[in-house]
Amino acid sequence: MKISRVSSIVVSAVLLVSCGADAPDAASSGAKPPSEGEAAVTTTIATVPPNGESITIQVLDNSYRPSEYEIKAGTEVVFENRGRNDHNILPDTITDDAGLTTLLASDMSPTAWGIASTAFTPGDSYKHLFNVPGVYKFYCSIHGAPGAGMYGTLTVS
Amino acid sequence: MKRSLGILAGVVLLAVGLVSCGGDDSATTTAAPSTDVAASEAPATDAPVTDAPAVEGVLNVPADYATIQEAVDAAVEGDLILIAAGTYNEAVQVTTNNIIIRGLDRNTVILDGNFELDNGIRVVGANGVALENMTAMNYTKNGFFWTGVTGYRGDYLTAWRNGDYGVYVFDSVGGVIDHSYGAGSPDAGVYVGECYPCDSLINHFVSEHNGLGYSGTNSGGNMIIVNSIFRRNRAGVVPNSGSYELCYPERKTTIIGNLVYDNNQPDTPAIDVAILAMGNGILSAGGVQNIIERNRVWNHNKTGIGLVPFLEEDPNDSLPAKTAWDTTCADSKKLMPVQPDGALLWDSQDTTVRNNVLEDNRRADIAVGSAGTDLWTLGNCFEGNTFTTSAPLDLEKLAPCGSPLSKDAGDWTAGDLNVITWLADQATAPPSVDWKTATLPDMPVLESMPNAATAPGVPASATLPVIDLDAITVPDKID
Repeated sequence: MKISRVSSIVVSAVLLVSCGADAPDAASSGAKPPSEGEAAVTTTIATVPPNGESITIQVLDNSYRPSEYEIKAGTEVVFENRGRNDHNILPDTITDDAGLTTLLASDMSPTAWGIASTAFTPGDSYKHLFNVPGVYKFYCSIHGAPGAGMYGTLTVS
Repeated sequence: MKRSLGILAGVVLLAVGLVSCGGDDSATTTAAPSTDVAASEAPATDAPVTDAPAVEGVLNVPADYATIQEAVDAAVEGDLILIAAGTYNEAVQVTTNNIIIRGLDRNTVILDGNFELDNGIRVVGANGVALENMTAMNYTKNGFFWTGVTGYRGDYLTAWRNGDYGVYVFDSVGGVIDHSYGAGSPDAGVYVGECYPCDSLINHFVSEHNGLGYSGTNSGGNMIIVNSIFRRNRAGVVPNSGSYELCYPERKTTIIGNLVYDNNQPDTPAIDVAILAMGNGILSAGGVQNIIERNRVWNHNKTGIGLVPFLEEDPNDSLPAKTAWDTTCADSKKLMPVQPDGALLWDSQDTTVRNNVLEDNRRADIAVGSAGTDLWTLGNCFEGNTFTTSAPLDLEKLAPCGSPLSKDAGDWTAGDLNVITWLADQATAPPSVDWKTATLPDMPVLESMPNAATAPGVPASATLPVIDLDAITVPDKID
């Protein structure tokens, strides 16, 4: 399936700084002051439209399965808590549920994502459309730390 | 067949503990029953040899660092953090390899979560971390928690009134939990899960007033539980299989020389599985290839030693084939699940129950059950036990060890164990109580680590100490 792309793509420096989330490792160019006679460059996050695909990641006690996955931008990922414990899904830059709540309340960009443990008890599911290419690292703060214990990585191309 | 655990030379982890203990466990300073069962005490292990890094330094709390976390953050590999008596309202996270965190006195170095903090000390992905000689209480999750590590050690730990587990070891291999205590947790006093082979030892542990005394989901492979006491929980020792964690099934756990009694406690905090298992001493729920020997098991409303199925109503994968039981945890994590249609019934299989002493287990001293599977196909055997009742009747005649089981060995239905009724029992069993307010006995003053102030710090080794399993005898009653 052809994935359409926005032709002029620059990432918003302001959005990336303010989101503080596990901003994907996509290459970005920040805003730069215009030279004399040159128009200002504005930046926005490039997004890819939904491609209709969906994958499921099982959230078990205490693992994500699969823990690493590659998807195309525009794919919806459904996380299902199929364990017997509460879990959360936090971007690596967020330390706890409270931090996630603050992030999601202040950042409406598509790269701000995750779910707190209060909303992810056994049987709950959470879905997010990953429409910005990059590498998204996440973990459960109850049962892990960034890159240790219960953690995972989504690579969005 | 001699079954002592020959072990590699690089065994340091109990060097200090063994030397400083001096095998003097009987000289306990506490009023609580000793964790030691003198008559069945395992012989002193061989002098271990260390291959762990030498101690780099000692960080004193609070003299050098005001908090334990500050000391942990400053520590480098090989450091010993010594904690003075006091109450520390901290949730400590450890991500540095090979550090030792030790209280100067087990009973007066107290980490208190105040029912707000999650874990007393959580070791995440840091190998070789040893936790020694302190108390963790009132944490919403666990007293002491290792996850994703190779090499761990917990000695002289007291976990009291914590919201999930007392001592929780998950997805970790190569470790020892020794001379420790867990009470007041809804799940288990001590847990080792999701590992194969685990290469782990639980030795001289006392677990009481929990949902489960011991829980081990999908663990096994040189997973050894010895010389310990599991009493006054809802259920005693419950290894189980389930696809809600990885690395299934539970297999090859060795349970030898333990006292397991009075696990009918109606007023403990308890997860649903603990309520379901209530009234059983040692209960394998869907575990396979386990060895249960020379334990003394008494006073249970249901079974003393029961091999039963674990029903998983909403599984995440199909049952692994028997040929896959030896797949390591690391390899099995790479496999993608095959969603089954409907529930899974994990049967307990190929388990040996031998030379235990059982009495006053009201449904049956020894028992095996299933729900629809012919018992003679499960491969479990019973031999040399001292017992009065079994389910089905004549179980040692029906299922002797050393020869294939046969449908024609006798009447497999006479007095059989109807495990389905347990589901109904669960509905009427005493419900869980709030772990924060559950009635517990007075917190015991337990034996503190000898020479805690002066013993050198030794990181945890992933190699188990030598322990002669054949030398362990059935322990005497202590209550």
